[in-house]
Amino acid sequence: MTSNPTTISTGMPPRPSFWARLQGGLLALPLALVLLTFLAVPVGIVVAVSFWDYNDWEVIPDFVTFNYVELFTSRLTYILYAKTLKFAFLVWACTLVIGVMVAYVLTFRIRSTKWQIVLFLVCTIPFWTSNIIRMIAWIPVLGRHGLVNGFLEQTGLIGSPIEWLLYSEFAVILAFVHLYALFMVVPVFNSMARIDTSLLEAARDAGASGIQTFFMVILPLCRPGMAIGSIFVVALVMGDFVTVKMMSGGQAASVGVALRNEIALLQYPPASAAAVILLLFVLAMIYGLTRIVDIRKEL
Amino acid sequence: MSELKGHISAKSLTKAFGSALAVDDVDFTIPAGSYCCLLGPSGCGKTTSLRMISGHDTQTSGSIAIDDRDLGTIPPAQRPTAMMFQNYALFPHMTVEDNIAFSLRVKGSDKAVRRQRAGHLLEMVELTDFAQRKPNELSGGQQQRVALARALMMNPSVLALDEPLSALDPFLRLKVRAELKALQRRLGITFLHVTHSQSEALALADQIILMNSGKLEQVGTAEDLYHRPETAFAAQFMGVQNVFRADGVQSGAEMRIFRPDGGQAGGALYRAPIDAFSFTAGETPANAGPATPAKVSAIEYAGDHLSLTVDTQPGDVGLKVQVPLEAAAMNPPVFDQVGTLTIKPESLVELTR
Repeated sequence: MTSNPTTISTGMPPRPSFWARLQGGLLALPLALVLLTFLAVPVGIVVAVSFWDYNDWEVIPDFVTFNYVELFTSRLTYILYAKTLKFAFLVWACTLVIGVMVAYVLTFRIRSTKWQIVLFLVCTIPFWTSNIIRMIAWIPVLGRHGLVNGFLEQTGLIGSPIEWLLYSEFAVILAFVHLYALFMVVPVFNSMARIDTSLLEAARDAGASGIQTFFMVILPLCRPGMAIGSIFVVALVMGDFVTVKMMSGGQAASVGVALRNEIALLQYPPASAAAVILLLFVLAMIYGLTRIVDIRKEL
Repeated sequence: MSELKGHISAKSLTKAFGSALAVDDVDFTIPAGSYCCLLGPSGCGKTTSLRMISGHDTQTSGSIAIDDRDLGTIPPAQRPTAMMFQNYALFPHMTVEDNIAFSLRVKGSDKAVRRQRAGHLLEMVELTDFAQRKPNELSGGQQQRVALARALMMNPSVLALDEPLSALDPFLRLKVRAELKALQRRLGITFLHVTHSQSEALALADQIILMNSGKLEQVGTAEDLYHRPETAFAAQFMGVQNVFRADGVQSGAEMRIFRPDGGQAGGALYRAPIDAFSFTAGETPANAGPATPAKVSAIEYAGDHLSLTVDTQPGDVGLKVQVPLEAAAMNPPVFDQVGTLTIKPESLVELTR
C-alpha cells in the first residue's frame, strides 16, 4: 500500500483506499439493511405514531403530545408499572435462584461431560412446544379440580380446593418462572463452566467451606452470567401480555396487557406512546445493570 | 533461625485412578526444613504425590505423616501444608490484598487483623504498592509472588509448589528460583517442589525424589543424582551420562555396544559420564582403552564445548561425546564422519536396572 508523505509526518494512519473502504461498506451492508428494515424503521414508525392524533374510528397524522401527557398524568400508568415491576422482580428472584442452583449442579456436581449435555437438554425440553401450550398445561394441574387440589383433598390436608392456585398472581408468576428459567440457567451455566476448578481447590486449601467457596468465589465470578440472564428475564416479563392474561384469567393487569387492550381498541397513538415509554424504561434498566456488572467479559 | 518444621514421611503410598496406578507403593522421608524436589517426566506420579501430601487427593492406601502426626484423610485446611498451584489459581475478582488474606477471611478474622497480616506478607514479597490491584493487572512474576504470599499466610510447615516456575520466562525463572531457595532457608520450613526440569531440581534441592511410572527411581542429593545415578532411567534423565549395554569393556580390545533397553541381547548394563568418552576421526589411537567404531550423527554447540552424538557401528546406539573447543578447532567434526569412540575404562559403572 502506498501512503503519501504528509500523512506520515502528521503521524496519522494512512487513509484506506477507496476500494478498501467500499469493500468494508459492502460487508457491513446486509446486517445494516436487516437492522434498518426490521428494527430502526418499525421503531421509528412507533415513535412517529405516538405523536399522532386519533378519534374513535381513525388515526390522524399530526404532532400532538397529549398521548404522553395522558400517560404520565394517569394514576393507572403508575399502578400498572408497579404491578409489572412486582412481577418482574419476583420472577427475576425465582429464576435467579433456580438458575444458579441448576447451573451449579450441572457444572460442579455432574462429573461427566456426557451427563452434563444430557441434563442440559432435559432443561430445554419445555422449549420443544409453544408458550401457549406450556401455559395451558398448567390448567389441569392447578385448576379447582386439578392435580394439586385433588391430591391435597384426597390426603385430607385441605377440606376445600385452594382457590388461588390458578387464575391468580401466583399462577402468573409460576408460569413466568417456568417459561423463563432457562434464560437464566444458560448464561449462568456458561459463566460457571469457565471457572477454573483450581480456584475451588485453592479456596479449599485456604480452609473455605463449601458454602464459603460458593459465596466468595463461585457466585462473584458468575455475576456477568447472572446479569445477562437478568436482562433476558426482566425484558421478557416487562413486555409480556399473554401470560398475564391467561394465567390470571383476566384478573391481573400489566403494562403489556394495557397496551394490548389499546391496540385491540385501535387506539394506536396512545398504544405507541405506551410502547415508547416501556421501551425506554426497559433500556434504562438494562443500562443500569451494565453499569453494575461488566457483561462484556462473557461476550 | 527457629526450629525447623515440616518433616514428611510417606509409607506405602499408593494412588489408583481406576485400574491405573498413578503412585505405586512409594516410601520416602523428607527432613524438616529442607528443599525437596519431586522430579520426573509428566505422568510419573510426582504431582499426584504432592496432591496427596497436601490433601487434595486421597491416597488409595498407605499413610502420610508430617512432623510425626499421621494425616490420614483429613482435608487440606487442617494439614500443616499450603499449596501453590501451577497456574497460581488467584481469585480474579479479588484484589491482591484480599487474595492474600483469603484464608483469614474464611476463618472469620476481622478486617484490621487481615490488613495487618496481609500487609506484612505484601512487604515480604515486595508487592505493597500493588495491594489494591486485581491479579490480571500484574505480570506473571508478580502473580507468582501473590500466590506465594497467599500460601504462606496459612503458616504452613510444608509448602507444596506445583511447577511454580513453569509459567515464567527463562530469565525470570532463574531469578525467582533463587528467591524461592532464599525464602525457604529463611522460613525454615519444607518446600516440596514438583518439577520436570532436572536443572531446576539440581539448582534448588537439598533432596531430590526422582520418580518414574509411579515408582521411586532414586532419592538423594543433587550430587548423588548427577554423579551417582543408580538406575538407567536416573542416569538418562539427568542427562550427563551415557547408558548402554556392552561387552568386551575390560579387555581393552574391541568393545561391542548395544541399546540399553535390552532390545538387543548381550552385554552388561553400564553408565559412564559423558566426559569419559572421546571421539577420534580416522585411525584408532593406540592404548586408549575400550573402543568401538562410530559415526557422527549430530553436532551441537554448547558454549564451552561441542556436544556430539555418535552412533556406534555396528549397533547404531547413539552416545553423547563432548569435544573441547580447541580440539574441535584443530579437527572440526563433520556429519557422517566415521571414527573411533573410546571410553576411560575406570569411569564405567555397572547398573543392575
